[in-house]
Amino acid sequence: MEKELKPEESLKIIEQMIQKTKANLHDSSFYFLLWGWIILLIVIGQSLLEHFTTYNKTYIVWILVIPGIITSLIYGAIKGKKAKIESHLDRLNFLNWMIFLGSYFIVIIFMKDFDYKVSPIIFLLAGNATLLTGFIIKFRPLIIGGLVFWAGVFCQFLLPYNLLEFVFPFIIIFGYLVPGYLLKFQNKKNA
Amino acid sequence: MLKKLDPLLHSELRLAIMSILISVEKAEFTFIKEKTEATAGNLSVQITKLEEAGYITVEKGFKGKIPQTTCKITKTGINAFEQYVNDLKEYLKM
Repeated sequence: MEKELKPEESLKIIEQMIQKTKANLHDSSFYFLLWGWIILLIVIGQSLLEHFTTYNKTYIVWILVIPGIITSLIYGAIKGKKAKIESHLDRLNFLNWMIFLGSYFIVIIFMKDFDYKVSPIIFLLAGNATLLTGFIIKFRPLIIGGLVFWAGVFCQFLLPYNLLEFVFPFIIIFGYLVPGYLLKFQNKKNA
Repeated sequence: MLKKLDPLLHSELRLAIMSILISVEKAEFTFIKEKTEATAGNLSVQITKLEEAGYITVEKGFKGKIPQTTCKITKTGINAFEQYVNDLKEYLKM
């Protein structure tokens, strides 16, 4: 026969189980590091092509985004299959970045109508998604990373073009890479 | 007069299962077993009871060659849990 539960005991069980389940968010540092390095390589690569070659289609380096997307999707699918739980915040974070991806594709499709000047919009979208992740997982470096992307938007309107190619790498480093490495180290420490 | 607490939820292990499942989108049997520290047999019995009541859904699959059972709380289960918590608050006010 089952033990008769007192109301106080019921409450304690509920609290304990919720507490045990709380700290099980998936490590998303992989994505920040993957995309940080891809975008950094793209930005630096495009700059080098512009300065040291006569090749006029330097934007071709942005094709590296495609293997990045494929890698992210495959990694996400594998991690998802291995995970023992999916928390509400994991789902929210996943939707956050799916919305970013959808918005990114819409901007790219209509790039011509923006006269190909889409980087402020992409920085804004990346900043929003990074900020939201930072708030969801309560990780301040990512919140700062999101704000760095926002600052990047201002830079693109206020700074001369020849300075931007030096500013962009810093935006990527402090927007994605630094928070990504800090998150990775924190998760390793807590594991 | 105080409402009678839902007998399906007013049980140590079933309440623990529902408390875990209300906190997540879904959870594997092994995760629930780890957190509740229940035996596989007892956990299986209680999960079946909750599933028969419509409080949770149970999906059986494979992770490679290893069988995998994943549980998810239903809307009925969420409503029942919320009602249980509200009824509990009434009891605790006394």
